[in-house]
Amino acid sequence: MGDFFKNLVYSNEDVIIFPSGIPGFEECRKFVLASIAEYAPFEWLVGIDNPPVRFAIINPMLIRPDYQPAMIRKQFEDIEIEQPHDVLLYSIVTIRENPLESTANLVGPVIINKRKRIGKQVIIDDERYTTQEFILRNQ
Amino acid sequence: MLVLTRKLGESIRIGDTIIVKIVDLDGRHVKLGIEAPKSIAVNREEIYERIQRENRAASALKEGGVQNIANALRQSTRESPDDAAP
Repeated sequence: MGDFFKNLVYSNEDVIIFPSGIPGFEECRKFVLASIAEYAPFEWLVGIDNPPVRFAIINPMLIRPDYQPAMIRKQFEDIEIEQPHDVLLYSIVTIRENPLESTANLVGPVIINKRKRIGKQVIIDDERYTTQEFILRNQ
Repeated sequence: MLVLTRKLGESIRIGDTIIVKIVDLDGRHVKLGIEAPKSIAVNREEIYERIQRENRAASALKEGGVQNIANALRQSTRESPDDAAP
């Protein structure tokens, strides 16, 4: 893990609680979002519980501008969304051996209530999307 | 594992709040109706497992790989500004 993440500085107000963790990392409940210019447009979802974990994430609209997963609004209640503009929406990125073949998971988007700092990875039942969508269009 | 025999139209109740009903039978296919509180996610097992696997693969990343694709993505966005997302 790079030094940046080891020495990540954050305040209590930055911490986002994922009440059920995320699938595969159910024990990781606390995360912070980090943006670093050199990795843009990717951002980072950094777990601050043990074991240390971090994910590269991206706005799914950058991959599929028409991204509109079915039924996702039904999940907003779980993260206590009252105003639609409180929602942050991300896809988790998997970096492949050849980074240019890297993919984003459009079936398991991460939604975050940025005001109440609650997050969740939802699983959408929508056949238009896959867990491994190429990020670069010419792949 | 608890195994119960049910007929078409019959249900089982799990705890106070979850009901699983046999809605339809067709050869090797069983259609289930599930009532559960909103806080309980109901997913097909294989989809949940796929997400778990993908998350584990995603967590194994190297920052250098992210930088490579970030550069490539910024470049491709510059080359085709028309279909880039806002």
